[in-house]
Amino acid sequence: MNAANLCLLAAGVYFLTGMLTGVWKYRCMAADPEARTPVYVDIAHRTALMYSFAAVLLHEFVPYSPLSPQGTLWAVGLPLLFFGSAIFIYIVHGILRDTDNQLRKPHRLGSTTLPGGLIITYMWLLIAGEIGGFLVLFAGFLRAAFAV
Amino acid sequence: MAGEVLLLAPAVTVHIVRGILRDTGHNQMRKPHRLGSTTLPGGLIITYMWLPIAGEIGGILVLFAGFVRAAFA
Repeated sequence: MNAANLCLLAAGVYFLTGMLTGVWKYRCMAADPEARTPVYVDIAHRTALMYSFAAVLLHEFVPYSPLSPQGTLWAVGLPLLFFGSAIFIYIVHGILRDTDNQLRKPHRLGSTTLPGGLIITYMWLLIAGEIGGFLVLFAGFLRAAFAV
Repeated sequence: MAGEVLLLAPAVTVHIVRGILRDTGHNQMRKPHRLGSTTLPGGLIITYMWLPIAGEIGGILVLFAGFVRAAFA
């Protein structure tokens, strides 16, 4: 598996997820007298679509990576993993209908609550993985294109 | 591919028409389906929802299957 193919694989999976969660959202609306849809069904649908576009964006930067093939795989793999984990969590909240804001305290998951430290750790790992991975690729592009 | 563009374009057009008319009170799926001062038959909306579902998912599935086969087979 090379980095470029991993990006397109993720883009395809997230795009399909976006479309299938769109069917889910439509069926929720069709069944509701006010045509409303649960908050996290809607969020899962929208974020899956946006992250599929983000995966294609990462793919465009792969040729400029300053890292080895293995390093580039990590630079795209970490952001893609966090994109996927976010979509997955939104789908879980959409199925459970347990919250309309997963960051509101206490953090609900089904009928239980999650420790606050877990959420904070996950959020900072996600921020570091997504921004760090992309910064490496973007820096590689800037250097290649403008000889900084 | 063309099927998807054909189906995505009217969705955008419909959203623009909604923005101009300000006719739905924020939700075009709420029954009865309003368009300006008239209402649309429910069957029209249901048909229009399932057509993009079939066309968009079908279109991308064909392309994605081609990629998976080319890249990993």
